[in-house]
Amino acid sequence: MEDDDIRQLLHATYSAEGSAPVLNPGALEHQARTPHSRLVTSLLALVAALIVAVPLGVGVLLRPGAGIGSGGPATSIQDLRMYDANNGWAWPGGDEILHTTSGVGHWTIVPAPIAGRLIVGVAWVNAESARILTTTPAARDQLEQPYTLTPWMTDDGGATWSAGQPFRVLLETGADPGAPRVYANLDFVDPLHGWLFDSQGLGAGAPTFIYRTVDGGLHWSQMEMTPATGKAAPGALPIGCTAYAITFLNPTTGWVAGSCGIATLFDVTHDGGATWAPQPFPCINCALYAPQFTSPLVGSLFAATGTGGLFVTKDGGRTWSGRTSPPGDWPDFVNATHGFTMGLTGNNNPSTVLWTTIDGGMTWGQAPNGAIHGNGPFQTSQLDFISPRIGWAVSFDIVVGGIPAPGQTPVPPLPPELWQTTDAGSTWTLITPTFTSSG
Amino acid sequence: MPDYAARPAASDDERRFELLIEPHLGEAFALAQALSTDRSSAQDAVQSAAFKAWLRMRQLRGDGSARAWFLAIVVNECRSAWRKRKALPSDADPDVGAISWPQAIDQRLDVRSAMRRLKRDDRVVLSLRFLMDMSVEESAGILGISASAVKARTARAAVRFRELMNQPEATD
Repeated sequence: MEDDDIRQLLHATYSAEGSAPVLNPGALEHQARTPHSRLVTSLLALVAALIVAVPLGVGVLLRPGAGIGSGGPATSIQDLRMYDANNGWAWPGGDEILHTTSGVGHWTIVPAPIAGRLIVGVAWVNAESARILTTTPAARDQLEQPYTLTPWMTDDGGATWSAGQPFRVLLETGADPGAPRVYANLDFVDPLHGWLFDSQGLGAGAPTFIYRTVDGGLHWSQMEMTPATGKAAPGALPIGCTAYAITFLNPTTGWVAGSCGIATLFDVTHDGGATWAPQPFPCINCALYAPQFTSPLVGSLFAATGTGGLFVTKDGGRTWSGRTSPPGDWPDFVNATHGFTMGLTGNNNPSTVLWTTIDGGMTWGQAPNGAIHGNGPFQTSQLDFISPRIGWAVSFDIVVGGIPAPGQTPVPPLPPELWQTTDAGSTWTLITPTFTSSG
Repeated sequence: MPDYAARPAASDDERRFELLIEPHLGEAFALAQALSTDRSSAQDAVQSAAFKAWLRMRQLRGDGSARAWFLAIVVNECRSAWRKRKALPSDADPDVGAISWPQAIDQRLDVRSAMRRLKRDDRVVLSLRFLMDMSVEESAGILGISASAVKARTARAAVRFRELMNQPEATD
């Protein structure tokens, strides 16, 4: 091995390539409150870009521990998923899983008996069923390490949990709390059929892994393992691409979306992930995010292009049609016509407000009083609507992650806020939920 | 709400930071990864280094030296982290058994393993010379040692790295 060989090995292992920073300049600017802090904010923008983008380039972040008993912040609602006005799930991080049968105002903490392991993936299956994946604390923050995942399942709202067969994966497979709809690592279409997807990062050519279970998570088997280089085998996913997410419509049909260099990645399977084939998509040179379906036929897909693009399907994903660019990213649709997104108001105003569509994304309008949390330091990062009128917004203190000046103590972030609307976003009510331990 | 339209123009320091330091953030993270045992430490190192670079932009004399100047701060931040950390955590998952990954992934795992097992000084000099592709003189400036010492340390580190690449890390 010559010196040049060492040089090549080190570059191949450590050099950061690929993904462009994921930034919300408006939000970063909003952090500035004084001329001095605005300058620091520009630095924050640069560093945040690196800190956000680079970890995604080596795997998805594990969520830090939080909640009762950990000494961390108080329990709060994050990763919210309501199935109707009363029943739903949330995951604030750590080992706490929250379940409600009485609306978002009261939650039961239903921790899985994972004995100190870290939850690295959560999937809400229905109002009573959830699946999680755990790994050892030693795996946290490690780079490119193979480690063991242990699945846990509940079908009674978290009252009882059962463990599945541990299995081995490479690299991190956690959920990123900041982008819950972007990197769908764990996806179940019913209580039996689920997939674990890990693109191993957003860098071009990062290998892609897909595992599947057909028995509710008891056993997992590897369906796909795309190498970083070489030539793809017939029926395999393409090599040298950046896969953002996997979405299944039913136990057999699903898509892997992303980009291949400057080309679009959109491959479909009709056998549960065993074989894949490119599907034509009406967006050239786009980076596609996961399709979201509101029924077996109706779905939407957000594409990262210069201005962001929205595509809809009404035939179960066979064909897709472009819509006007939405004012915000990753619109949340509740049916074929009604959708919501948080977007800027223009005029160099960094605040985001709720935008709605009632015609399937053909046109968008600002909701009255759409600035959900006023002028506070909060940014809405999750919308969860169950009907055209009823929904919730989870907002976070966007000062999180700020860099304190030398010698100064970091200011802890304000706890997340949960807001509710029953009139399609015209008015919002701040919810202060209560929590009860299942024990 | 703040009047963003009326904000002042960017300062010279801000422009210089964006021009001189921002292009090197990616390789700074690569360097920090090579010198750290985990991702969060690498992130912390780059974050701290960027902040210190920001505060000290006026100390940077001559645009041509910005890369070496910033990477030197990164190296110092990593060294500082080493001092704060009494013992390095085990990188091995206790559940690890025999498993075969694609060759490219296997190779990266081997490289990371070998780098972790190098002495810290050797890791730094290899990273500067072969990952950052710095000259002997630049590396000497960052490490505060002579050019001949850089050459000797590089040669020693390369030998050890080759040995470690041929010695898979033992797992329990």
